[in-house]
Amino acid sequence: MSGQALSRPIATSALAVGRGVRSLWLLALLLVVWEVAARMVGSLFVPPVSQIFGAFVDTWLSASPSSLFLSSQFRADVLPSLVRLGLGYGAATVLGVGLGILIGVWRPAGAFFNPLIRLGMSVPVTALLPIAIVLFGITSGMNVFLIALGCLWPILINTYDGVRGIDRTVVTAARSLRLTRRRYFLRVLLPGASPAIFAGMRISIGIALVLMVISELYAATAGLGFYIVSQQRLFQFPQLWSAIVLLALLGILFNAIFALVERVLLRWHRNVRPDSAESH
Amino acid sequence: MNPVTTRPQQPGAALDTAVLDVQQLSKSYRSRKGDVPAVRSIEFAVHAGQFVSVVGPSGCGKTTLMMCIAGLLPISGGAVMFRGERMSGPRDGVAVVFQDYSRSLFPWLTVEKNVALPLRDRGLPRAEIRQRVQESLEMVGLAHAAGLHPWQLSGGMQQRVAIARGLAVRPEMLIMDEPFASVDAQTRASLEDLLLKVWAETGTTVLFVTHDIDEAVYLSDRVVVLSQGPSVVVADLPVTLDRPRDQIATKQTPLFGELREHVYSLVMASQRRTSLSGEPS
Repeated sequence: MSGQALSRPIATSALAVGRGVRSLWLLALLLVVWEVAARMVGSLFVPPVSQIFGAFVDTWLSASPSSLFLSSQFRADVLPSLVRLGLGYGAATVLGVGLGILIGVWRPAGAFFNPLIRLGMSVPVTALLPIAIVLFGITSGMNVFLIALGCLWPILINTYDGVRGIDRTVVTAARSLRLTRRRYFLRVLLPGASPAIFAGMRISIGIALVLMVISELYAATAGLGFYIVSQQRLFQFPQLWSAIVLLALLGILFNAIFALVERVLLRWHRNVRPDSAESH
Repeated sequence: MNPVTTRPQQPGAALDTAVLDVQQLSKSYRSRKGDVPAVRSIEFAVHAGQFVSVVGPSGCGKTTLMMCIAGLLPISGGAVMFRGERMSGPRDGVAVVFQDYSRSLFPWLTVEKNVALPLRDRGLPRAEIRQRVQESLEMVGLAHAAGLHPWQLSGGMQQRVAIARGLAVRPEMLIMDEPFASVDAQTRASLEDLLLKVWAETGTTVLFVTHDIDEAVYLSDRVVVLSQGPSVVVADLPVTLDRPRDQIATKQTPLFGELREHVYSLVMASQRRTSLSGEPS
């Protein structure tokens, strides 16, 4: 029985690899079509894939192995972006999880803040960009603020729902064990809400990437968004496209990190069958 | 050593030694139409080391009663006395095993950590916790499953883990709410025998709530019969079957048959009474 339980993740990851290989074929085909079409049309704005790839290596990976191949351009534009992303996303996670748990546990606060949260969630954060610029000026603080604000709501609302959605039997059982508040929080509440918290964090990482680029397109003196706008003005479209490729790779990387963390931390969640016992 | 034969078998004998004394317990749920009574002046006592079952027709408020006795639901009237003290919430010395093992065990913790959980923050040294966990798991025959997660185990095994978690705190009383209602018949029989073995080994008092009359008679020293809800105690019967009990031999004795029939007729009668008086079932 334990052997079966252990072989299941292996089997599923083998399947995932199989699916990955198949979709890679499709991607390769698409790239070939792009290459041929771009060469035939000869547009300045959509260069062939080979040119984009060349620009990608030149722009981002042209340095010596001692600096991990990462070029000065990478350090000038990608690192500031990643720092903003990390700070904004980190702040949103800390705040969102903290507040979400607070209003999830403390019912009056939940009832009070709920409409406010729904309102905050439905305001497109991008619309607040001009205000953020006025408040912070053209600083990294502006980008961080916007990313944090955009990421906050999904994490907050998911954490809240996760805490409220913990099964009543789980809560009753925990009460009968007479755990201290701290242990209840760490061993029951937090793990119980963690699938929902992770779902919120996963939605937010995509939002963070979007807001990072948009806020940098508008107002920044460095960063990937800033780089994209500069290359557009210089009519260097292979370079511009190389930044977009880099963004896509970042997106894939973040998703992969999430998939890995969930695989390890939420293994129980995928394996629990909700109908394994009859409810009465 | 067989503690069974030395136990007082008469209900109501030596009330002052009662571990649990349920006095005029009533519980109502609030609804828009006013209070809906679930249980109505329940009265019985459980003595140290006894195995007492509570049976009643389904929907008679057994789970409500169990939750009230365990201090997991506030009561509306009367009192639950544990060792002469009024219970006002979950307390040390009382462990609960729930019907729904898949939810009462925490799927994110291993079996070992589930069992160890109630032992933390009790000022016990690590070695003591480890030893108690080991001991409890051995008692239910699951020492080999310590590192697995509950969802890697069958339903019966999960319920054994829940029993081990209850035993780990070395409770004076184990309250069990239809613990074997969600497992198949064979697993159920072996769980019943496991429970009897553990009960004999530990000397823990057991309050066992079930809707299964055979199970109640087979396991218990006494069977408390409840009426259809809002429930009251309609009978408190001593079960004088010999111990150790055997799934086949005990159930073939004429006494078992008589008791079983008696309890069955009491349950049916209480059901009939309420349906004749026009109350919703």
